[in-house]
Amino acid sequence: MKYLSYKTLLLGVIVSGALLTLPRFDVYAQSEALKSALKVVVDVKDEKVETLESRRTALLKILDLSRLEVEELMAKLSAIDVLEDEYIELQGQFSEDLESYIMYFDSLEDALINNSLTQKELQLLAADFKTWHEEYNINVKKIANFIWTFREADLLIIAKSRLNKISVDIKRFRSSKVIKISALTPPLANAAAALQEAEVLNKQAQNLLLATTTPPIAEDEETPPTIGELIEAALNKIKDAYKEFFKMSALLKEMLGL
Amino acid sequence: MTMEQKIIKTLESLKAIKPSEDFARYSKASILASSQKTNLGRRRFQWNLWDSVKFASALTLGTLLVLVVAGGLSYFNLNLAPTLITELNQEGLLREANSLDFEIHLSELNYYDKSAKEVAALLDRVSQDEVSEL
Repeated sequence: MKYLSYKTLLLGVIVSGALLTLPRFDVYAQSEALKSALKVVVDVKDEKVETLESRRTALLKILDLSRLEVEELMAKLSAIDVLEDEYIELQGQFSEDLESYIMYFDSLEDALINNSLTQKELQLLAADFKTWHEEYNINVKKIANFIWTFREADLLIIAKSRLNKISVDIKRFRSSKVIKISALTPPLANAAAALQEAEVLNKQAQNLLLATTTPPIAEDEETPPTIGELIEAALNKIKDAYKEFFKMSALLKEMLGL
Repeated sequence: MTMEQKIIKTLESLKAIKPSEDFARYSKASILASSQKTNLGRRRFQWNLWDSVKFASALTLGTLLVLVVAGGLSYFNLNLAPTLITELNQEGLLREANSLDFEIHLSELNYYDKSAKEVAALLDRVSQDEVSEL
């Protein structure tokens, strides 16, 4: 009974309270501005784009969207806290890339606002921009993958902390007649296994981040999973762990007759 | 005059004895100059507070004892379980799971593909000579 002192109870309440009041990671969520900018591009695409003015407007809308994407990526990238040197270097390189994109958008916008371009010049500009945008998009996806891999590592820390706290508390009720630990143990083991798998997948994604920056030496016969697929699979595993926590919660309520 | 009457008379004569003026002034000054050391009120307050603490402790221990005797260990199982309930609290778990925003994260993973596709399509429209299909 000594483990169930008021200090333990108080600490449990404080720690779990602090955990549950964790702020939402708004910096990682896509803004409404970005969503609406994409919607504008989709709407413009569905309209007639024939005149010089409509072509210029369309290009400016694409620039608005691309600029917002880059600005959000810059904010998200700077919020990532990486420790290893190779990732710090990669983060710095991505940051420089994003800054150069903003400069490119500025020059393009100047040319469009200047209003001196003929229709033909504007069409050529759009064609060049399309080629540039293809390269841009490949790198932007790499940056997004970098952000998501490390963001996911943060989510894993939160989930694992929850798992550890539940495990510790369950051990305290080992001799309880009301709370049947045997019923709570399987979902707890499932949650632990899911988080373990998520950690492995996330680590694979982290390794792949570095691999994609250097030319591949040899190609495997079977297609290896992409970083995006690994991140998604790991995220689903974390989700599975929370499903197990919810199962345990329901079981506990049943045991206590709540 | 009896012995008793003599004593009474002597005692009554003592009433007439008065201190000299100098002695009276000195004594009065000495008494008034001395500090007042009585703190009976504070002592009473301290005693009351300590007494209350003792009483409250006794009451708490007594209540616990009665509960243990009446409810046995099941009382502790049910009433100390909130520590575990806090960790497995459905509302709390839901809040935490929501803060992790799984669905948003999964959709964001595909955002750049969607965006690139839309931008490429619009750039095609802007760069082409004629828009005959419209």
